[in-house]
Amino acid sequence: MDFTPTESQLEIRQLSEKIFRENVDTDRHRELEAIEGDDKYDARLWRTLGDVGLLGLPVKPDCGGMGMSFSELCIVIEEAGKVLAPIPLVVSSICTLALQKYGDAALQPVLASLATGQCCASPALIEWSPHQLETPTTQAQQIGDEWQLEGRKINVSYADNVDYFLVSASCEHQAGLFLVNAQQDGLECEPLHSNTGEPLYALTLKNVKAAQKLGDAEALRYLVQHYTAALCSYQVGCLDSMLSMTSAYVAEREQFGVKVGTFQAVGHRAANCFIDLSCLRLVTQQAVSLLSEQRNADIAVRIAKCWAADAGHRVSYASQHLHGGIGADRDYGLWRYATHSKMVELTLGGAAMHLQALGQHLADGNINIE
Amino acid sequence: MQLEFTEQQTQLKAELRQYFEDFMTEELKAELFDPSRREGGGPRWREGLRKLGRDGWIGLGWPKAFGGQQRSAIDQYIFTEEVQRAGFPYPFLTTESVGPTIARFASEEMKVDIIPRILAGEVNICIGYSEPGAGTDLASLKTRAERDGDEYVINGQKIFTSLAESSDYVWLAARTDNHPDTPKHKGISMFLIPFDTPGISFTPIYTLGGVRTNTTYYENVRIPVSMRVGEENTGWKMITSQLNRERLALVTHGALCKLFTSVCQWCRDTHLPNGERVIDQAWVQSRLAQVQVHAEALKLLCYKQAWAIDQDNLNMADASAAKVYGSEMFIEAYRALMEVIGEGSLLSRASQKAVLDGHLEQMYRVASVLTFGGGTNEIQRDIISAAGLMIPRASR
Repeated sequence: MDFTPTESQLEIRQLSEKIFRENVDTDRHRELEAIEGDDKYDARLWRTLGDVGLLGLPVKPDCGGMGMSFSELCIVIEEAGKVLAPIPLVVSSICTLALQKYGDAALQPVLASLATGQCCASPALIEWSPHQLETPTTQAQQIGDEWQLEGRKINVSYADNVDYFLVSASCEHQAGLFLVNAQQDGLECEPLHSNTGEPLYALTLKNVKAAQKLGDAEALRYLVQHYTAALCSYQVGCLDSMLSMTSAYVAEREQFGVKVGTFQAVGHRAANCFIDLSCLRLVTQQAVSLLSEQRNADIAVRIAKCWAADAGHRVSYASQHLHGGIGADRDYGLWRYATHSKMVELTLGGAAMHLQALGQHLADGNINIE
Repeated sequence: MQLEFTEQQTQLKAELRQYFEDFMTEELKAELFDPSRREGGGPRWREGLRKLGRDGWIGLGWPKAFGGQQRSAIDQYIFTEEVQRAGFPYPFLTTESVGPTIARFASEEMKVDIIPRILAGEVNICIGYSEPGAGTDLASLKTRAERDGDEYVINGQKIFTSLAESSDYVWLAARTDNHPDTPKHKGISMFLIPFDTPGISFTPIYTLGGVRTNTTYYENVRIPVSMRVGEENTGWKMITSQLNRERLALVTHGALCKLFTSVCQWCRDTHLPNGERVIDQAWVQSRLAQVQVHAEALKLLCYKQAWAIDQDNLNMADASAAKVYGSEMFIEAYRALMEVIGEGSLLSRASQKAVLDGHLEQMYRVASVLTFGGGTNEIQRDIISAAGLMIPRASR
């Protein structure tokens, strides 16, 4: 057992922290938010990350990557969460991982451009009917050598900016995962307005030809698990910033002639956030580390997501509350974190859904806790 | 980063698991079943402790210079977890707090006398810290030790002196400087006093958890100066220097995991009149899963602390966070486990048909002391807020 990060992990954290700090601040968020339409992502930051190799960390070297693991990627994601980096980092990098694992040799050039940030991808997994990730209503039909997809997806991140989608669809009761070119005929992309202001879209697929079937239920599970763990890492960063802002604020804010942080009721609520964040950090590290080692991580990932959801909710509301009015003011940055932590909480299932799945494992007797 | 045990650690865990299977004989379990012996002190318990000493387990983490094995803090944690899982009331304060303090601060003479006996499991030491008027604010303790030539004369009263009835020594904190200008934590000294010294007496306190503890009284107790440990008025450092390690021993998750596994098994084996198993009910699954999610976080918090002790960078806020989280989580977890078992979980161990031998019913009663014992959680949250989040604290 060793909780020490490796040298390269420390370097990756320093480098990504530096890049995000130099490129993303409240003003930059405002600039992007003021843009009408689809280009609400920071293309300059995306290219910078690609240039220094941070987008290809877990990609093998012969495809332009650094040959590292999911753990290293999640460090970048956590740092992105700290500043709410307005780029499709989580979605594109987990698509990259799935393509690397399940795509055939013909997709190597695609992988290389994803690894270097020349293009990006987004998963299309979520549908209007909730909590059905493993049984999508979107249908896949095999016609000759081709797969055609038909259905509707929602909450597809950055759909108007990405080059590829990874679409989940069912074929004769078996779920599968398909690569779809974003320019493919029959795809309709309609903007939605999300709680964060981040660009989300509804995607309608009418007899859309898939570029390739990447795999069946196992490939879909791989994508969902990595996506979930990546969201948990993002949440660690997001809550870390919320808590830093809150601690700094109550250490300075005065009422009744004293710093409000000296009130035990205030200090203790912040302490509870510290505990929540400590727990989330560790269960997330565990899930990420198991996935990196290609071990069975189903239970660890669900446990991490329960924490990401619950701790996200608690830390976010405590931060809002301890800030008082200023926390709700859109000129102050906290509101943005509140919406992002809520998005992480609910994306790919909230705590209750994952508890139910864990409970089913317990009922089946296939969990052995030590 | 590697969040799992090494092969050697996994082996140690398995070895200990098997060791304690054999160690916990029916006779020992029967003795511990008696509420007054629940926390140890009985003849079979003493015999068990000596066996742990002979087999080298007490000295697991102790330096080789003292006859220990000098193993890592993670190994020590694995031992702690397994001994608690087995349900043997292990005297952690003696072996992990008082012992190391004596090793560091006591005279050569006292070290040579006491430490081999601690490692052999032959000596029992009760802790004389709390007083009726000094709990969380321990530094305000009033028991006096007044110098009289080569002797000290001790007068005062201590409370919650567990195991006093079977102890060989009391590890006593007493005031040696009463001057009004002396800060109260700078006037305390530590003593290791044979418990049969004239003037010491005790009366029992029976607690919610069924566990017996004691009030102890010190009336003109005359002891030689040599029974003082360390310099005069330096006791506070000795009391506090081991606190972070102690806190870790309070919240190991071994016992909860064992009980959780048993309750899950019970819920799979027990059928409702309609033929469904108890565990087939969605709310039961949900309650159990919540316990699992919470216990998993405690496990990792504890592992990380054991690792940090080995690295010599144990962070005060992290130690307090684990203590607060673990102690409060236990209460909620036992509640949830009782809830899924239902009214049957109210039957105590004395009842022939108690579910899971009434362990759960008892654990829930015992667990309530942990949120204030070992440093009350309010103070722990103060520490987290100040040391972990750099929030200014009120003076007190």
